Amino acid sequence: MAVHDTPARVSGNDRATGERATSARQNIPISSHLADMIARMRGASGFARSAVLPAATAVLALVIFVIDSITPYEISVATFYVIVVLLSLRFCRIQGVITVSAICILLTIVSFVLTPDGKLATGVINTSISLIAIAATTYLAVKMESTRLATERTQAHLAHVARVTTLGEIAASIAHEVNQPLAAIVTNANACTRWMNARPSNLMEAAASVESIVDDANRASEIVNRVRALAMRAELKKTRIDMNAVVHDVLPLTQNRFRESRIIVRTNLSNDLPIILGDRIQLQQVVLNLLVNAIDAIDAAQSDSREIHITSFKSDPCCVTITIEDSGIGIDPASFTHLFEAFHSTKSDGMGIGLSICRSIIEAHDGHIWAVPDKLRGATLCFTLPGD
Amino acid sequence: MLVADSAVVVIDDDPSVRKALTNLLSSVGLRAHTFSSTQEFLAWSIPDMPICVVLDVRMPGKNGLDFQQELSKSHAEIPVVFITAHGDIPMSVRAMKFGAIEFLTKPFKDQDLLDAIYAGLERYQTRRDEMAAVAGLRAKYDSLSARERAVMDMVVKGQLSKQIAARLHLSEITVKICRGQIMRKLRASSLLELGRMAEKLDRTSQRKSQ
Repeated sequence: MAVHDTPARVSGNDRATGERATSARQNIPISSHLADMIARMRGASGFARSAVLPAATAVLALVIFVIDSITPYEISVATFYVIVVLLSLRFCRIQGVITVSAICILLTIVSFVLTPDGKLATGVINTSISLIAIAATTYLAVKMESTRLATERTQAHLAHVARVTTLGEIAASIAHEVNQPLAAIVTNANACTRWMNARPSNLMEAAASVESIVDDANRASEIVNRVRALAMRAELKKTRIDMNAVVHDVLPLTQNRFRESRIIVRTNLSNDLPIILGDRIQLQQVVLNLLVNAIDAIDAAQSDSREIHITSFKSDPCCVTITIEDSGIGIDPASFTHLFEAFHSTKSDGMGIGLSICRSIIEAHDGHIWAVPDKLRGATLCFTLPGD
Repeated sequence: MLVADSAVVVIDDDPSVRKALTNLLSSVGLRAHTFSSTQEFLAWSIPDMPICVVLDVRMPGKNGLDFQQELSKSHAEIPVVFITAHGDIPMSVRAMKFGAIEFLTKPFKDQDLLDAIYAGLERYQTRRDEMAAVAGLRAKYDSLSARERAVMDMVVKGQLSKQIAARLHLSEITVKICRGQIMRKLRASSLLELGRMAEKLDRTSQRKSQ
């Protein structure tokens, strides 16, 4: 029932929020977001976080160009372009660094042509040295950057492998534990049939068999309860939370994947969200899982439109609703009802854990989570949490 | 036939599985002896009657597969049926290689288990009969004198009395008397039967020396 009445609610609120907080609407293409995020991830100061660093780098390049052009050949200023290349590493990807380096080489050559005086032979030697220095620096910078990216990818992969392995082991051991009483139930039931079919039938033994079946079934359900208790063992550490902050916590973590999949992220976060009481880490986990699903869905769709739209708004009564909409392959109607069940996955390498974890976290916070049905394109997942 | 005087040994660490198997076996008139571990089973004095062991693979202490290997050395005649909650191909291959009757995954069909147990008990009986026959034969062979044994070895290799006499420096008539003694003591009615007996003795003595 919640699933059916929500789409209208979502779009209505979306519009309201849009009007109320147009200033809050950010339309951030990923490339500018990127400089921001890389800088933040590398622990750079606020100086690097904005557009100041690229601007300063450009100014430096210009200053070097002017000085190099007006001073005679004997003064080799062009060597300082290596600083420009190194600075560009802080806000550019590999291709960007190579472009910056190419511009520096071009500027050096133009300066060489423009320089009015000095000995030509010295000029040629100095310019060559500068060009070699720029090329070598670029080579090393690119090498360093690609190593870093590879390390990052490996780490992510390792984390995934570790998670899957542990889960596999846990699953195998639970399967074994539950299978024992099930085997006993089947065997007892077979024995019961035999006691009843015997001539004359032995009802005493048949009744005893049924009793054993009841005991075994109870034992199986006890095991299931124990596993559930184990899963819920982590107690919630509830604090007062602004859900927008949670979204901002998670975005840097997925930046790499956004960049690799060339996804544009639009956020439309309302300014007047009620504060909620919840476990920040667990709620980050929910947003992270939903974002990773959205990225996977877009990768799977391989279409031109590659967008994720995150919105937050105040919903009645005094609740926070977060929606994450993607332009991916969407949700197969057949799997719609099983979407949040454990071990149900539509991904070839999925464990079917992500959304079920999301649901248990959201429900532990007295909220609810759902997917918007009957969408023409992509998928929208929403969750609501009660305000404090 | 076999059912009345035979024992089914169930070794499984799970009490509910043990209880259920006892129930199933007694519903078809089979007596079950249950043990929670292989050590407990080894402490038991194995009765002299047809036995079939129903063994769980995963158990605390020694696992079922290792135990089967050990049992096949000391009590080769005892058949083993495996039941496991999580079997894979390497496990079942290993079990069958060491002579397991069946490798069933829990939960199993009751008829499959019972069929395997009946087959096991039957195999036990055949093996015991065979072993008794060989033991009797060996006792008879042991009653032969040293000269008779030497003559018998050459007879079953197809040598003529004349050749044997020449080789053993005996008269041909002595060899012929020896041959008569051998046939009488081993109760062999023909040369062919004597050959078969020699082969059986040879095989079991080879198995022992291995």
